[in-house]
Amino acid sequence: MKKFITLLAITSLFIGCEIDEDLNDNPNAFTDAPIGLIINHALLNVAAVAEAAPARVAAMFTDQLTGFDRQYATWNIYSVTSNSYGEFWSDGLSAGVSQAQVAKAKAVDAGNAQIQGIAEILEGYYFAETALVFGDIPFSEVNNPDFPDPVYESQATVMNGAIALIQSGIQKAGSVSAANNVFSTSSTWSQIGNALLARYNLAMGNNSAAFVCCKSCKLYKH
Amino acid sequence: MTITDDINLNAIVGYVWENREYYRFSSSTVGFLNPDPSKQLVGNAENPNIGASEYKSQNQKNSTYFNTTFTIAEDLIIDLAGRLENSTTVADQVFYPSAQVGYIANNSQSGTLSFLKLRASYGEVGISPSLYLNRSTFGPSTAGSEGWGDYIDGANYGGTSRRSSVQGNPNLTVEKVTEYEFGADARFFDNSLTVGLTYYDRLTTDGILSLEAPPSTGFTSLYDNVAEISNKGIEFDFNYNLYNNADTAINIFGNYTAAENVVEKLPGVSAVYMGGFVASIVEGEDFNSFYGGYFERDGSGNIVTDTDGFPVIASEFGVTGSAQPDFRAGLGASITKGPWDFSFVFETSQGNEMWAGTYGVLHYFGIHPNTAVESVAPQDLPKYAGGFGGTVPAGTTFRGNIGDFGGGLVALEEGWYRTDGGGFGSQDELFIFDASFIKLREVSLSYDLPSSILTPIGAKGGSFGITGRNFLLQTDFPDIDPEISLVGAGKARGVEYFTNPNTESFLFNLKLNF
Repeated sequence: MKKFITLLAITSLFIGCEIDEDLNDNPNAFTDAPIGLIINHALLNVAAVAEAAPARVAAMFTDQLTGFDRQYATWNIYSVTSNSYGEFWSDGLSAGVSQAQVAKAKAVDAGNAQIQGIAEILEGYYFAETALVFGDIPFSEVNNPDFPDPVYESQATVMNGAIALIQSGIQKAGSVSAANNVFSTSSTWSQIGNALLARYNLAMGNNSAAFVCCKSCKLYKH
Repeated sequence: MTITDDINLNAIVGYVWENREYYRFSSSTVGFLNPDPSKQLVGNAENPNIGASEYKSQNQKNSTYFNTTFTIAEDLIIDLAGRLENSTTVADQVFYPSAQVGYIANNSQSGTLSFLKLRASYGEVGISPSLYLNRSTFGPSTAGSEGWGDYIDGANYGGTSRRSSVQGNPNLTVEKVTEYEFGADARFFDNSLTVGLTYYDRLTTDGILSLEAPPSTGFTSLYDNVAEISNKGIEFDFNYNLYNNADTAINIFGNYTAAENVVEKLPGVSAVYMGGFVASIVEGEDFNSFYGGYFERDGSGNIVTDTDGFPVIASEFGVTGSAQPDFRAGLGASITKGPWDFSFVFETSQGNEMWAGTYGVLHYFGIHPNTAVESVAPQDLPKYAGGFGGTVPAGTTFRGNIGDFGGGLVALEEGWYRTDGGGFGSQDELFIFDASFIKLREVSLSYDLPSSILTPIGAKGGSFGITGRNFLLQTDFPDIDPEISLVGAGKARGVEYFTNPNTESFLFNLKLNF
């Protein structure tokens, strides 16, 4: 019995032996990234919305392309289920809006108004394009895991919100050239922002506002 | 340690400390500059063709445990054990108790009931979350649809980075399994019939799963303690020594298992994909269900058809089947007479379904035998409007089949198989089949060689035998033995997509002992 108690006593010394919490810090991945790399992602992802699967499917649905083989043959006959659109939803919201908002928050922290402006223009772009495709979408409850079931706001509310974001972005970053490693262009962010505003105002039926934006981005020449 | 004359106690107390470190560094080189194959040098290529990657991890676990065994009057054994565990990924200590009771009710070794042992046990075990799931990370990014083959890599554009699409979950905790088990081992007729019977009831709570997150949250997946999964079942086995004398022995043996493995709770998500295209878990359904596109049904369960008579596909995914069998069983016998040994085992699985991915895709390509047929239209037959549309006029011979989904006869031809009637379409329902089977798992015959053959070659013993495995199969599943798995050791069951078939084998063997 004595031996048993001794053994028990020694063992009890180890109870509650804690493990270093730092082991949870993933040595294989960063927990943060510089603002420039994140804004570059938000720019790069424009290609996902404008040039990849959503663009192809839109072209099939408007008879510009014919989906002939494998899954595209099914798209071509509009035989889709709600699951078919999951990827477009994440291109616009988790890979688009959310990353632009991450960049925006970092720019606000760093007091970098230019990057904040660029992030706002991109955020507005992703919101507007997603709303144009899907109609009502989440807007104020986006990019927040506390809202797994977010409120869907009306298409008009989202479009107006997106237009306000782009206008605010032009105020901050309008004079800056939009050219960088990702995006080769001779335009300024004001010109790009106004081109987007022209498109979205046109979609909203605000033709005269769209015309004003056209003139500001020099898309319209007399 | 002896407590009284009748009670004996055996106790173990211990402490375990575990530290696992892993490091991998790998490099790759393509497009060798010097083609000499005798040297494999990492630097033998242009810089863009040289790549490297590494992975590190460190995980710790420690636990204090005890295990006590009381033996009371030699026929009652009580085991009590416990374990207090710390692990890297869980903030708090967790205690796992377990207990086991065994009682030998009859140990007469003769008579109708010659032995009976009853046993009961209770245990809790935990599975700690994997490393690095608790924090969101940032990494290099791509844009576009990798699934469709067209995407651009930010590394080619001066570098891009995004917050990972996997949401870190700092609240992850242990996945707990609680299990009760009751059983009996009995022997009858002077120990010639041995029977084992076990009932178990296992409940997994806080099951950790990778869930699809709504992309509007900024993430597309996260790991969370969400699932509650129950698994109840019985296991039965017997061995009956039917006949035994100096020259002859006949044994019959068998087993039967039936389990009900159900996803009791899975709040907040419609399904969690397990792999193999369709295998998923869905709340209230069997653990291994198939989730995908299916045909719309009306109130009385009939397929809703369009005006032509083709089925209408539901706009949301749903459960299309289950890979869980009602029961599995085996039955075999071995017969020994003089130098001859003969044995066989039959096995069956009943009530399980399987997704025939290959079958579906071969229909798409028009190279399944079902599509290599010609039919004559008995009346004007509509073709699938979703395909190329049109009609097959009465009396015309066309390539394909005549189908009836409940809305009249239709022509199943290229336009149907190339779209929703084939493996790339929007429904899986037509490719889920009953995968019940009965098979002769093994049959073998062997002959002990007589000393007249063995002695001249100096052998002490030897036999010659022939064994056949897996060559008799009865199943309604198309084209292949359904006892295969696309995902190997993965959790998904009942999926087949260009999977290597099971082998049939015939073995001839000669054994000699020197």
